[in-house]
Amino acid sequence: MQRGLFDLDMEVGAGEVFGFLGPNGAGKTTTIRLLMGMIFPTRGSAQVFGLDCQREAVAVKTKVGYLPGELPQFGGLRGGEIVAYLGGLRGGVDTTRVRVISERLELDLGRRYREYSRGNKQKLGLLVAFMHRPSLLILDEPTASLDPLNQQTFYDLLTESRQDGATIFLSSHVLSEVEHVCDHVGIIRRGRLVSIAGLDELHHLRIHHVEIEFAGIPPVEAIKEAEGVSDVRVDGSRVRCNVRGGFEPLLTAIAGRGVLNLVSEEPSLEELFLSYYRDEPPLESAAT
Amino acid sequence: MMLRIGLRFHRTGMISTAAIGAFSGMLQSLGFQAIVGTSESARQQFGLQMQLLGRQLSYLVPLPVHPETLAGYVQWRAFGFFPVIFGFWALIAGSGAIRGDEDRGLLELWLASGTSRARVTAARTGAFVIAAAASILIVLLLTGLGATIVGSPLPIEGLLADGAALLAVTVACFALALLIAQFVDSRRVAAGVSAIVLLALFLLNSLGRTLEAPARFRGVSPFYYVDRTNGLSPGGQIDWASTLGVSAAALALVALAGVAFTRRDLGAGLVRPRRAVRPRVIEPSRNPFLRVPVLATIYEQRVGLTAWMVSTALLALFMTSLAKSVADLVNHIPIFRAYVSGQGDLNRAVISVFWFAMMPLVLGAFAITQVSRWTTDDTEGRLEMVLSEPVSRRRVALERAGALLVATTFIAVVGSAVTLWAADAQGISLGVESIALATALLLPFGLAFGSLGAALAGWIPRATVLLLSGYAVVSYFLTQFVPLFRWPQWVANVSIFYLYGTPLTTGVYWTGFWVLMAIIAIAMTIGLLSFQRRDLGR
Repeated sequence: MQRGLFDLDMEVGAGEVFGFLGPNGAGKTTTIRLLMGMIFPTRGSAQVFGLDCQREAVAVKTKVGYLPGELPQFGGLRGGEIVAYLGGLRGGVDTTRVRVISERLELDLGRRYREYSRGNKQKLGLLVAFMHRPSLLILDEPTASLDPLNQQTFYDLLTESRQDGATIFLSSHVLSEVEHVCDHVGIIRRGRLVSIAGLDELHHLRIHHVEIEFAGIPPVEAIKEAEGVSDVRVDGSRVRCNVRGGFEPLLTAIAGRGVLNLVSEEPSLEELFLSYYRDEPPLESAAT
Repeated sequence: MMLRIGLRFHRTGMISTAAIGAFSGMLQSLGFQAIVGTSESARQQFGLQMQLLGRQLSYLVPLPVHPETLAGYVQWRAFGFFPVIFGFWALIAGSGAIRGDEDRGLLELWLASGTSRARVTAARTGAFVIAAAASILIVLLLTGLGATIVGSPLPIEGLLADGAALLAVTVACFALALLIAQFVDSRRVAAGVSAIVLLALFLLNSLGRTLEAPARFRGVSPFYYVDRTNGLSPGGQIDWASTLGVSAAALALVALAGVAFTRRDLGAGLVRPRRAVRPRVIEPSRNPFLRVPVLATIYEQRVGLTAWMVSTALLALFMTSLAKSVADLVNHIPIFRAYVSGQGDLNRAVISVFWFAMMPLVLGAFAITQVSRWTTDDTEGRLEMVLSEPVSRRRVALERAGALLVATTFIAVVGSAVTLWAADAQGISLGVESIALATALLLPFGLAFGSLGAALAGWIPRATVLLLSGYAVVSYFLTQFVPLFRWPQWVANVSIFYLYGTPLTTGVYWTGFWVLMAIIAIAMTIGLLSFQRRDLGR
């Protein structure tokens, strides 16, 4: 099977928060690296604010704050030295802004990079991406390795950047995260853009694995007839099923039937894609 | 699985040592007849001259035994140097095994999958022993082949005994570095401390060859035991007990390293320095160097660069201090006059030919480390971070070249200044102008090497270091062998080291200078163009 991006055609509006979703190896990072001028297309082009991402890469990057998917190894350099070095390359970085973001992310810039935990490395990457108030943020899996408190801080930073007029392009594995922050979502699979959807359309994709334990005999028929419920399996007093869309119909069906326990899990994006696109024919190889 | 991965990590070291060793061993065998002459009297005279030279070089290699025979000559000129070459590889491999796996995140995976630390230690050691044995076997085979081709086959038992002794000392060096790596918290510190310890052990043995005081403690050094086997030389000895003893000591050191490894935390050493409690820092560093192009790179490499400067200074001191003794030897050994003919004052000529021919090698090795850094910048993601800032690829490439030039200047100036001072202390006048010229001409040499690396890195990044190192080794050997064997000039011209010439005594070799400039221009342009069009991470 050929790997890469094939016939990718999409546009993100200024001031928009755009989520780029796809399973592992779908082509999210490749797209992002293409936008950053790190790799070159064999055919076609990409533009940021009307500037060609390859020919005018330097001009593009003056406007962009970037968080790579995999953080580099800076070895023995201290966090503050890395910020000073990268800030020196960019020029004009406001020290006060660095101080504020470090404070909010609770990041110690006095420690050596190799001593940082994965989460702290991610925080340093976020600091470098946000420190110069960019017009466009390109973030590859930004909440990976962040604890819930720091995820919230990241969402706050994102909201503030958006209020300042920044455009945001972020890739993610996590559907709920994309729902939480994005206006539009692009879905990529095997290097091809499957769809660009608004948040409403995204809800159709949403699916939950639900397990209900009853005190007595489960109301199997009522559950099967509830809208959005599928794959109902019964194991004694336990019922397992999938719910697509809202929970209202299922909750109505089981109301007053002696529910002891109810557990709902969001499936991984890979699982979701497998179920959603199960019937699609395999993609043919194509040149990029 | 671990064994296979370990073997993969040792692949470059194995190929490099096998290539250097086999090339050197085979050439010494093949070239012997050309050096020694045809008559019996010439052979005897050659033997006496080599004995004299051997005494001068006893700081580096064991004293020769019957160097007038091919077997004795190969034992001394080839096998004498092998412990240095293989010991260096063992040092890098020993400080990198386990510690390097930890940096790569492999160790955590292995341990999490239920593999014991003892098994990791055994597998990594086993992989190195196999790689070292394979490399040494290739060296033995090709050295033996060279001798057989010229009609003087080497004794098989002696060859095997030499190989076994070399393997034992190589594994002992590996084990020592592996043990030291368990006490410190990073691979780099482990390599530094191991280098100091191994150098001390090496000097203890080599000084003990001629001096009484260190001779009493030679037994502590593993290098002493490899000296005790010189099975190729007629009348030489094979000391299997020493070889077995060093092997047992190596095994004990590996076991100790295994115990230390089981007792330390991952990401830390057994010795953990106390850290002072300090307030959290939330500001970027105010260091001005980090904000200035080129200087930022130099600052980042300050520790390594200082080590290079100190090593070069020590080497300059050592080489210059030998100048007068070597000049005496050259007076007595006609074959060496080929190196210094037509270069005026003999002391100056010796420094020019022996030390200033080695300086380009030192700078070439430094340039290779820089090229290696450029390729790992890409594979380890640092380049992506740099290029995510508004800087062009051209600027990055030029800054790399600039940093290489500045660092090369530091090393060359320190080396030359120490040479000037040490020569002056011995009453040898080199002249400030001459040495300034010789130093200045080293700069395009270093840059040419870096430019070749840049061109290769844009084309085949994964093989760049190996190819560049191979070219450096072949080039250096050519400078040694062309005048000795009276090979044609076109062979000499293949070596980049010839282009430097002997500026300390004969002025600028203009043809070489312009060829170096052309190499810089062409290779840099190729490197720049390929870097601008290359996908990162490939």
